[in-house]
Amino acid sequence: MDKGYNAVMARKNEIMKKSIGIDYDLFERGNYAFDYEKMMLETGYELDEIARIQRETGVGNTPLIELKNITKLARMLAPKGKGARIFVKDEACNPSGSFKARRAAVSVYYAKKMGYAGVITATSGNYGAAVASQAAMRNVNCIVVQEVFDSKWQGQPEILEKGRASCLLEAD
Amino acid sequence: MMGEKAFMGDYVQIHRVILNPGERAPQVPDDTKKVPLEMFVKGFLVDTEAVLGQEVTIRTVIDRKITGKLVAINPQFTHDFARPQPELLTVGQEVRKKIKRGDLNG
Repeated sequence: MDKGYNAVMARKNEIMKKSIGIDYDLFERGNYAFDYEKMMLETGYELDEIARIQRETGVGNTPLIELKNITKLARMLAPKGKGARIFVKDEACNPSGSFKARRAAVSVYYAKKMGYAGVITATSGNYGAAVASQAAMRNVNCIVVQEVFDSKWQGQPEILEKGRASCLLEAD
Repeated sequence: MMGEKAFMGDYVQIHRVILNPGERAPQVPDDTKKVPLEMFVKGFLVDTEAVLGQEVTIRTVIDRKITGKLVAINPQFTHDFARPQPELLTVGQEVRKKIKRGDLNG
């Protein structure tokens, strides 16, 4: 089988159909439009169910913290009577240290439910660590394909750190 | 270190070229097209023993067998957080003074 770039891209729809059972052709409208709403109706989850799935692996319910100094600074800069209170939703409190755990939680849950051999993701960092973390908690095999270094073996520390996290979480 | 030897079961890293320069995706930037797409994978050495540079087989943590050129034996993570930026340290002091005083211009 030809594993060259163009050959693989030409088989993309067939690969998606075979691996996750979604036929994207059904939602295509003409040459340019894609019926996202219809796809969500057929494959989506209700919000309550998403919240339940996320709770199972400690995802979400992150703290909402008021940044009092930043609010004060904003009010010093804003015209009189303006300047809202500023809060931060601390998504770093998710299991893998970013909000990407939210999406990964549902994907890995679904993969486990469907009895898939494992999960695989391409990432530049945070999503890979999130999938590896969710897969570890649900005992699902995981492969993370991450662009870590360039050809001169240079990489950004925060990106390298996410790659290291995936390795330590027993993902390939 | 050339000539360093790994033995069966050692945690090692292998290297493979996935796409050569002429085979890169059409949408990547021109300077990216000039270099190969390379893959590095870590796992446990299947061969009895091997030296760096040799073609070997590894078994990954999820039990896949992959072949490639042996490039490192349990390589160290060397990234760090570098030095604090002096400019940012003094910016912080200035802003904090202004916040305490409640006046940006003072």
